[in-house]
Amino acid sequence: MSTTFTESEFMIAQCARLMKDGETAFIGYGMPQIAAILAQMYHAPDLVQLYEFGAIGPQPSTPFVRLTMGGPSNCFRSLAWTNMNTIFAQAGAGYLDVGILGASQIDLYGNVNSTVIGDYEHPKRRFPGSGGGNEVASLCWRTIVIIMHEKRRFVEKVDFITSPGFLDGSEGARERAGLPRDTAPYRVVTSRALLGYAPNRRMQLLGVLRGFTVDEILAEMGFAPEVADDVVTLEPPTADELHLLRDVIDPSEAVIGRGTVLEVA
Amino acid sequence: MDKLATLSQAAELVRDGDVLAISGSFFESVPMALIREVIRQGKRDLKIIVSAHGIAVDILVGAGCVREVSGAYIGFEGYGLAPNFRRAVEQGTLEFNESACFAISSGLRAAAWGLPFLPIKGLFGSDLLLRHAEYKPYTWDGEEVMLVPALKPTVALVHGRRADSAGNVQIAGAGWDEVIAEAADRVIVTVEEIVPEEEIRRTPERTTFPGFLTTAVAEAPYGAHPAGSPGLYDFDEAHVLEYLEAGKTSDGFRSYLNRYVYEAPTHDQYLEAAGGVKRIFALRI
Repeated sequence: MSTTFTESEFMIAQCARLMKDGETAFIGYGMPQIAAILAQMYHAPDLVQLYEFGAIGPQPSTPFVRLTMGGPSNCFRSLAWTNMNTIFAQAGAGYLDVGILGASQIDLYGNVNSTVIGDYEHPKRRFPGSGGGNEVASLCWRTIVIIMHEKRRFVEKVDFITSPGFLDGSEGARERAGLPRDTAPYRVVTSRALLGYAPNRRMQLLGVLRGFTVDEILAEMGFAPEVADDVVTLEPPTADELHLLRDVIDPSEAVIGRGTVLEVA
Repeated sequence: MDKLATLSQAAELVRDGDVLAISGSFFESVPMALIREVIRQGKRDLKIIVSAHGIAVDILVGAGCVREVSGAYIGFEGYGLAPNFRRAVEQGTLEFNESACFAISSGLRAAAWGLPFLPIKGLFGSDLLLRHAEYKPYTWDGEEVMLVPALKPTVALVHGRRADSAGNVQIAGAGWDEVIAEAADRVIVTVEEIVPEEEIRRTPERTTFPGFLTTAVAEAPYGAHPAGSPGLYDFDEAHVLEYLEAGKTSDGFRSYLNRYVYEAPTHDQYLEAAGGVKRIFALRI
């Protein structure tokens, strides 16, 4: 029996599977929010979501149709309402296990651009600002980036380093720059694949969505990542995950409806 | 000391050229009634300091009140770009001084504590540093920190849940409102409800900042609309979508301002224009 799902549904389910029960997770807006709600409902009831405006541990009300992280429904049933200084300071003090961000561009060493495409002063495209993305990638122990699997997004070198990955990729580059020791980029969840980082800090292909080949994945990247010896097959969202996403969390498909529809046998 | 004011008196405390900080986030605890009154009063040349905000900044920019914005994100998240903000930046009529949320909120925190700067972690290795020569790396006992200078607003616009007439303010929800109240020279507050002092004394654990910080306080029920107020009412998504549709063109936005600001000269008239009691009440949580 085949499964039909959108690229967003796949990315959200993949990302949710990376969230662990009991962890503290700094959540950016959009797909990361939906993934956190799914994880909380599915396997990680004690996942503590944190939002930069200061909400700690909310259980966002569902259906979650709102396209914002700064609204009352997103702060619903919080454990605490604090403020931006508190959340970032907690991240800086090492209390946040994982940060989850969207991105416009990412490079071989996991540096993220969410500021501008092209030159800053004469941009091809300028985004509305990166919010707290820099601090999330700087201060959380591990950073997960969610990004569509498109060649133009995976570039050898990002046009602008908004949020640091392994910077120039040399050993100890983050620490030398002044970032907290042992913090690092962790995973990249795409609409086709799952990537991590090899010991040489280059991005590394770890998994491929069922029905796609490694070559097909690599052909849609602007650089050649390392490839793990044992690239795993990533399963599509399960019936349970799709039920929660479609019937409980986002029935209006505001977030899960994005991207093309995939069918996997 | 009595700090009670009408909405109009409160907004008159904003002067042309002021540096504004604004409470709340995208769609909660935004001092929208106060902002609409600032627009009606035709304030000009304002500078705004925010971390991440949307409609609060966009409507002021669209009404021609703003010269410069310092911020980390101005937009409507999943709803799209901030139409007036984008137009003004593209046309070169507005300066956008772009930074990161923690750097800005820490600059405000420094001002709140009367300090010239605060050390923070973060920003290292980012190209954002290329645009901010004023951020200075510093090594303290082997540990690297980034020094970010104080950001001093002259005025904080705040919408809270309730206050007494002395301006002791209680705000529900996540936010940074006590930080901007401590940082600013003048603090202009609207609340959903003015309550007796006794009510504040009964619940001091809920007080966000004390009356000696407050310059003026005005009652404005549903004063965050079309944003929401945590625990009381949700934000008005349909109105926000109408705003974004109107904002697609300058003319469309002018019609929006006419309908909801200039031709609704009081907050009560605004609430009528925005759908009246029935629709507003439907937003209650």
